Amino acid sequence: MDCQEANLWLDSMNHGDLTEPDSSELEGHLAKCSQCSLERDQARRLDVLLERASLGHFPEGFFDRQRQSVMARLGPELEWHAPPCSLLFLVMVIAGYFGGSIGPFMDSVLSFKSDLGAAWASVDEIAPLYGLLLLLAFGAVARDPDPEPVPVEVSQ
Amino acid sequence: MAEDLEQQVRLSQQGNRRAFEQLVGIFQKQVFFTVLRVVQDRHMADDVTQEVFIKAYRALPALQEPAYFKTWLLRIAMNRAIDQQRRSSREREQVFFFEEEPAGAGTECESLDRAPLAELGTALQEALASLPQKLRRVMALSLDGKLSHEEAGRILGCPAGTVKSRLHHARRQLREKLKRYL
Repeated sequence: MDCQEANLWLDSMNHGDLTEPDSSELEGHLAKCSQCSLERDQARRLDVLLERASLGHFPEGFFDRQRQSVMARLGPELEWHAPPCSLLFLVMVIAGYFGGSIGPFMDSVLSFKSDLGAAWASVDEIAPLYGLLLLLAFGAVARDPDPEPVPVEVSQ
Repeated sequence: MAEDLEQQVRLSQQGNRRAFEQLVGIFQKQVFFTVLRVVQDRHMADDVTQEVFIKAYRALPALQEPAYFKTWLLRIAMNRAIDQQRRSSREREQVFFFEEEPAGAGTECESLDRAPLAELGTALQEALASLPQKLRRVMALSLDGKLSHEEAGRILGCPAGTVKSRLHHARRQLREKLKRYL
């Protein structure tokens, strides 16, 4: 093994990546070559230096604030999930309104309201009720879908 | 554990904010410190880190392999950091520091133990800054020591062998530049 080759293997040896027989061969060379031996020592010290270098201290809560800021910048996004049954319900309400197929149902609602003394006289006046039904339909599909995630611990 | 992480990624892909917040919590330091090593400015690194996560959240549905989330995220971070560094004319601030070792916890390197700590920080920063871009990027990723050559290669878009070779050259150049401290 010559010095050039030895130099190529120094980092691997210092990081424990060098296997036999290369490792023994390199050791043999280092025992004989003071220049390469010096290079090996400097490579080790460089590793120590890089390991000791810190990126400084950060104020308490710095990373919490950063995370909160990321989440805030994502904005309050309403996530729409439309399971088939909700969509079907919505379609039925709309179709019913325009096709009059839910008239009997609305009549019964009206009579119920009459019984209670409500002053609903015509179908035209029940538009707010349809609005309410639509709201309920949307309410069924617009929800916070986030189940609580399982905490994950990952060493970085 | 890896499966849990993949599950978090999948939930995030479906728009689950809480799962994504957990991912931010897990990776934000790694992203921040990688970016900081490239841009060498804390405020800029903070901004870039936030942008990286926002961009990642929006691009998440396109990620086909949740197992590669970390390298995918760090690739976004590295690209964004390089882009920001190119555009910025701000003077770099000191980002590398050395602290007093506790008594009796010497490094067994007298030259290192003797060197003034502030000077050591400046010297390391200048030495790293003087490396060619490709070598500096690979050093920025490797300084954490948490990425394999394969992972670093995926982030930098090159084979693992190239990463190893660049690391070798970077260390050699650093040894040369920091000779008086080693």
